[in-house]
Amino acid sequence: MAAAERTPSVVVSHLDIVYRVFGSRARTGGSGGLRGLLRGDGRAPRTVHAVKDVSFVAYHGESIGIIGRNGSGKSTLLRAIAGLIPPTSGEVWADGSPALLGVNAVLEKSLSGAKNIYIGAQALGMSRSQVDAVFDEIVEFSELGDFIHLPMSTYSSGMAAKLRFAISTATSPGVLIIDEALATGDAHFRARSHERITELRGRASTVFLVSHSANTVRDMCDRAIWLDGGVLVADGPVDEVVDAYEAAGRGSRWSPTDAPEPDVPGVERWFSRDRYTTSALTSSKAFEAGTDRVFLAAGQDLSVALATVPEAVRSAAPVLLVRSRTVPPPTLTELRRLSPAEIVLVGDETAVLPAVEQSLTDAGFTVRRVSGDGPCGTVAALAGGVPLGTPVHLAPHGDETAVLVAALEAVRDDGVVLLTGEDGVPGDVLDAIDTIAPHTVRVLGDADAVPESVVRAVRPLTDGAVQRVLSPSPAEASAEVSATGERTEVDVVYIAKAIGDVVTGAVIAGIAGAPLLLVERDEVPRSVDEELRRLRPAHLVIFGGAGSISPDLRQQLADYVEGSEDSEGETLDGMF
Amino acid sequence: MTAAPPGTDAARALAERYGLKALAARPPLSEYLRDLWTRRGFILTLSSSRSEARYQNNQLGRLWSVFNPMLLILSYFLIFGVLLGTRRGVDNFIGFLSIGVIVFGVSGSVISSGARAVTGNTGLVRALRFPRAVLPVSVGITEMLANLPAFVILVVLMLASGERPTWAWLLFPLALVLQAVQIIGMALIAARITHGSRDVANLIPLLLRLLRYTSGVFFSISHYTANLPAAVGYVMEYQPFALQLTIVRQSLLAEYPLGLLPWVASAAWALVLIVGGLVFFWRGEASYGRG
Repeated sequence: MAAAERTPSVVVSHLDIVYRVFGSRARTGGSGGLRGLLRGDGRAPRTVHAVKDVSFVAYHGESIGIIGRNGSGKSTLLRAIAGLIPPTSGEVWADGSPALLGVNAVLEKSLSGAKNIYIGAQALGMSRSQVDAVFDEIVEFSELGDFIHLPMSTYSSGMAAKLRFAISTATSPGVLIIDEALATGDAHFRARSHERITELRGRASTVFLVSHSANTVRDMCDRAIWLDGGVLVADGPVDEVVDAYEAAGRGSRWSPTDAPEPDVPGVERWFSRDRYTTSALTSSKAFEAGTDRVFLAAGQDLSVALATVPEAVRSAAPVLLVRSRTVPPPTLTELRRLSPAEIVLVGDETAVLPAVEQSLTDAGFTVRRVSGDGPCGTVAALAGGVPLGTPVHLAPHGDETAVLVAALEAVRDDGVVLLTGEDGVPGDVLDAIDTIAPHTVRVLGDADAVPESVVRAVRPLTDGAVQRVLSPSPAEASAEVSATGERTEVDVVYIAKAIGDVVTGAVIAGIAGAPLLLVERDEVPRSVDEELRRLRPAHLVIFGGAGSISPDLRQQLADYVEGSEDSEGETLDGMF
Repeated sequence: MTAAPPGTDAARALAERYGLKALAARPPLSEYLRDLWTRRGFILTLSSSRSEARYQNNQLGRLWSVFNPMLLILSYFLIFGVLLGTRRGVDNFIGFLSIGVIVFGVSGSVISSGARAVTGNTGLVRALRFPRAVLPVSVGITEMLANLPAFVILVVLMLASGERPTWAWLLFPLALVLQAVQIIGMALIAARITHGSRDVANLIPLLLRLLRYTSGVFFSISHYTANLPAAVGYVMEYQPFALQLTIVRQSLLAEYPLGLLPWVASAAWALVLIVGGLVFFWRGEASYGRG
């Protein structure tokens, strides 16, 4: 396209961008204090050299994908091309006024979608009458229907992204910049936006697309630019560059999680390199030294570790993870710091080998092992001492998501989690249920996960109902559990995606009585979005790295934090 | 993989040949002002939407834009008129106080929200490219629009407190326009200073409080400055906030006869502040959005 007379649309010459970031407020963990205040902890401007000496020329009709791992400077580069971030050195020239379509392009949330169409399109340089002319087309393309008259604060992130896409493309910009937005929305909308982009390129626009997905870039672009650590690594035909990028990704040590990420005030991230370290780190942020008890469970079988969570919440004790053969050094360090009166090792001798127990005893700890026949029996043994009538939550062993939801529910109603095996309910689990004589039994999973025979076997053992809970998604389930709390304006809400990161976190959330919500990597699902709006947290804590919850999403989450937006006008108090 | 990108000079030559514009560079002032003027529709949309949205989460909605100033006037009346008795030297104290509270209230909120016009709108600033002066200017217009009901209330209170319409009342809108121009100028200045150092934002409430008590909101300045050196009294009476109150009082209150000097001084302040504000804000244009 446009090969006959290649006319440049964007020229980037030796671009360098260094920007200041402000540290996050340390509001938990008590590490700040007066000392922190005096030192100005996290307040001093820190600088990030995000883009280093990048040069290229883009032409009309081209579609250019920008690839690179998190924190490689992709978004910063695009913002500079859009003229939104001034270069620290070097220059950017462009044809007309480039339009940026980004996930974080928040318009006026308190106003309706319709008002935002006028604000957005006029900001992009259209006149009121020009907006009048394309208004219906924008509404139609955004597929919002009557929602267009509701405030944008009621929209899900997908709906907001659709509207932004519709506004940005309605102005037929000479240069259109799309930042991850195509990942939002359903397949149908993706297909339509794909069409719209092809159409814009036909009209000699240049399209820039930032994506983590090599496939999206291959699909939509004819040229790719690969950035790493702010440096331009390669620039050329899409297949060549993406192949090289993927080869580098397979061959080297880098992972999508090791890149630096700007701080987001009000949204902390608690994460370390693996689940063992994350668990130890999480514990160290929330528990004082000298606890009565610490639960240890195997990191390979999270079902057992998660089923331990309600018991740990009752004991106000952390759950830490160990390997089957060794105690990972971070876990040992955290155990030493906590110096518990007793370590409860949850798992039989195949899950956690006797060598682990021995090494803990040698290190001077008092260890009590709770075990039964396999994981199901072990968890049943753990439920030994609970009072009569305690609610039981039954989840299939191995389905970690279901077990996590069961654990969240059990924390809420002070119940226990029991596990079913592949061949139904083992005898010792049935015995445990018989002993407890629960008022209710909730079964997490459909008939494939937990067969109907299980329900039949359990029913005579309870004096109440056996309910099967079919939860459409983990996120929705977490939102439901949180919603039953009917809290609002809470201090903290915990956010997670990967189950491995959340074992210790679930205990902390349970003890604190704080909600734990599950999200997607790049998106806040609708139900969670609604719940977060309702909760209006003072701050958020993310369990997991950039690989499980993207930096963009973290940025987006900041919008839910109460007080992140300046209050309007003066209060009566301010009048005096 | 592809041809090496052109060097600095070649890149510039290429950009110039095809008429590409340097995005980050600060445009010349004349171009900036022209650009700002072409966005006047955007400024109006932004301002009117925001002023409409102000009370949308309250059940009584826009009625608050009437209740708020009334309640404030009432509470100040109780404190200053009844308890402290600062009404000395003023015949129509209700009229005097209402003008002070409402007119100064508008200036105060424009300056405190104007200071956050850039730093508090990072979403908009990072998403869309437009002359950033749109933001502080729109703060001023938003506030004037949101206070239209309060200005009407002011006229009603004048009638209720015994004033009778005179030709001078026609100058009331002019006084508001002069005020709007002055405070938009100040909002532009405050927005750039706050963007440069966010800490300054913490001093603004203090500054406003100081001004509230020295600009003649609750009591006649001349009554209290009689014993002070003439120069001090002069400064206190001819600073823009005091003048804003004086000219509105001259137009609406019979006991304050029209005088040319305050109006000329006010117009001069308006000119100085808007020109100074625009130039000062424009000089920082290339830095907004970073950090």
